[in-house]
Amino acid sequence: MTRSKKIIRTRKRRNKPAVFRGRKKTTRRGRTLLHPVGSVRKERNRRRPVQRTGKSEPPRPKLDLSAAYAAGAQAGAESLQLHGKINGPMSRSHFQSALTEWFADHIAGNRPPYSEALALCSSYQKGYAASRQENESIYGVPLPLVSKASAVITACNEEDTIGKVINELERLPLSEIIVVLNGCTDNSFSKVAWRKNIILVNFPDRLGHDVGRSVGAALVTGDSILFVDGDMEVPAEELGAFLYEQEQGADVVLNDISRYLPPYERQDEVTRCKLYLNQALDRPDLRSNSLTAVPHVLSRKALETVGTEMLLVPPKAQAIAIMEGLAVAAPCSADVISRNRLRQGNSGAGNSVLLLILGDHLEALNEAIRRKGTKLSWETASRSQLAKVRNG
Amino acid sequence: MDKRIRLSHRKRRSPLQKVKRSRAFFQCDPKPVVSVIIPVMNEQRTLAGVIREAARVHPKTEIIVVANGCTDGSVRLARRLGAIVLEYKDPLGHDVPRAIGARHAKGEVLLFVDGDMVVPARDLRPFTAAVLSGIDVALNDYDGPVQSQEAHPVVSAKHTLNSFLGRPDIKGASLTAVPHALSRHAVLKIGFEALEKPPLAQVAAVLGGLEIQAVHSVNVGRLNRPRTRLRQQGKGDLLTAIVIGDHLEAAQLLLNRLGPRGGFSDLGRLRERVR
Repeated sequence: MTRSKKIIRTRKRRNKPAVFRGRKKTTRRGRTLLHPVGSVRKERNRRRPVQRTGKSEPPRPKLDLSAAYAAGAQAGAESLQLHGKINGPMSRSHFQSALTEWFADHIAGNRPPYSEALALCSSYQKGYAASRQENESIYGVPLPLVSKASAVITACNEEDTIGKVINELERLPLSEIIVVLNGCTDNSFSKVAWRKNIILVNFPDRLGHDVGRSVGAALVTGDSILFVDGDMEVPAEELGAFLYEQEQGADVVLNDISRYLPPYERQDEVTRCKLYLNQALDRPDLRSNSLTAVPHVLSRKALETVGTEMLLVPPKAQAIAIMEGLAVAAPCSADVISRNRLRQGNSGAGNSVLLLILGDHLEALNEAIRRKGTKLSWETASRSQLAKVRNG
Repeated sequence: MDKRIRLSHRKRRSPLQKVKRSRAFFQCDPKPVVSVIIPVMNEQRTLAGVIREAARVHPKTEIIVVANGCTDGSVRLARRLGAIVLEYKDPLGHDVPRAIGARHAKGEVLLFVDGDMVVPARDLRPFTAAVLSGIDVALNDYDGPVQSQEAHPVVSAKHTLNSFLGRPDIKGASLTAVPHALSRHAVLKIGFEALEKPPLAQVAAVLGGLEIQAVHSVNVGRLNRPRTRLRQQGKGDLLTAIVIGDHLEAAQLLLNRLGPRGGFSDLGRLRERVR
């Protein structure tokens, strides 16, 4: 039995005529090739264009940036009449309220993704600033926030970066910024103390990891709280995404770091145990995202449900939030992995921070087991039932 | 006619018939050094191969087949091949039969394999050799699929439990996976009850100060029979749920023994400062 005969038989069975839609290609020795150019088989293997099904989302309306600009210009002119040419807190708050109002009208209940919202609001801002003949950057990041937002910065000996971190936060429409310094022996205090509109909490002793965040959270008055660390400046545009997503309905907005992670075999133990906690709580969609990482945003509801005192062990707070049925999500990401500074104690295997975080996750599991029983929500079949299904 | 077609026309013999010709090729040693424990439930297809390879592990070997819920010829086959057979009517799973077999084992080294996959003897000997050279628990150095960014919950649970136990160096090696070997000393220290839930046994072994090593890698993921039918019916998650549950129970044991943080430090957190 030769190979070509075999192929003809297959075609017979499939009732397909062996049509060659191209020239027959032969090798140098004159043998006909098995699958000549343009043969049926090649046709069959060709990559077909992806069929669009009706399920996909309706196309988003095109962004009307010029309308946004015009609306901004009009609002700017109004403000010029109301407050005059001098830029001060009055005109800034006017800008913010005008922007929020316009944005709510413009989108009419259909919230666009953050990038589109930011583009629209930037155009609005440009128009506003242009009609007031100002530089638009004085209005910071145009964020259409309805609720009051607060920020908590924790720092311990971060004189080099704390100023930059606050600068970035001041570009956001925040109602308050709380800085919790603890155990600082450098100039961190004087870098913050001269600034206006900042609530500064200073502890001479080192509070330890994550305790500062918990202390700050007990002080805030806002409806959403943005937590950042004093050692890492994240651009305000990226931070704005977290606040925007919170208004979208999430109670806990985590930083999505999955795109910066290597495959599992090369991940460190911290990343792995974060994944495990989420999986054990039946939220594998959260991957390795955790309250241990900053930046993240909590809603007032989350803060009250979880309790500020739980925040000092972030994985525990996360486990409680998930078990209490709060909306926990990781919709946006800020690269903290490559910006993170390596220092003694937080790098290498067996370092002290690693052991602390492992302990935190065990504490979180302990809390989960205490609340929901040993097997959490994993109770299913018995071993003998499983054996029957597998080998019966 | 090519060879493949000729082979397919040849009459297939059932595993029982095949054995008849080479009857009683194995006899259990009365004073064994190595006890091989094989849980079996309807494993007629592979059992002969498993017993053949197990018999080659060590000159003084006994083979204990723990047959549970068998409805095919596995029991007769095992008896005919010369293994010690413990028979149970009800299906018991994988882990309970292992504990039962361990109770009956007389050897100094207890080697655990599965009836559904034939692991060649050359891949079994490293485990017994490690235990004979002084290691208490010799595990399969197999991590499961870890190339993707997000690991399967079972893989993740095994890795994390080892981290919690302060043994990240053995990665995903676990008593859940075969083949593995235990010394008699280790079995007594762990206790037969804990052996019924492998992650619990792993915690007990670490807390008991036993020496645990991942000694040799056998890719059991590839050897395992694919159970696509189960996956299609959505029952593939049953095993996952049980294994995850076992790992949570293991974490609870660790927490009960070592405190709510599993013995890890708090790095000087001033918790009382938070109200």
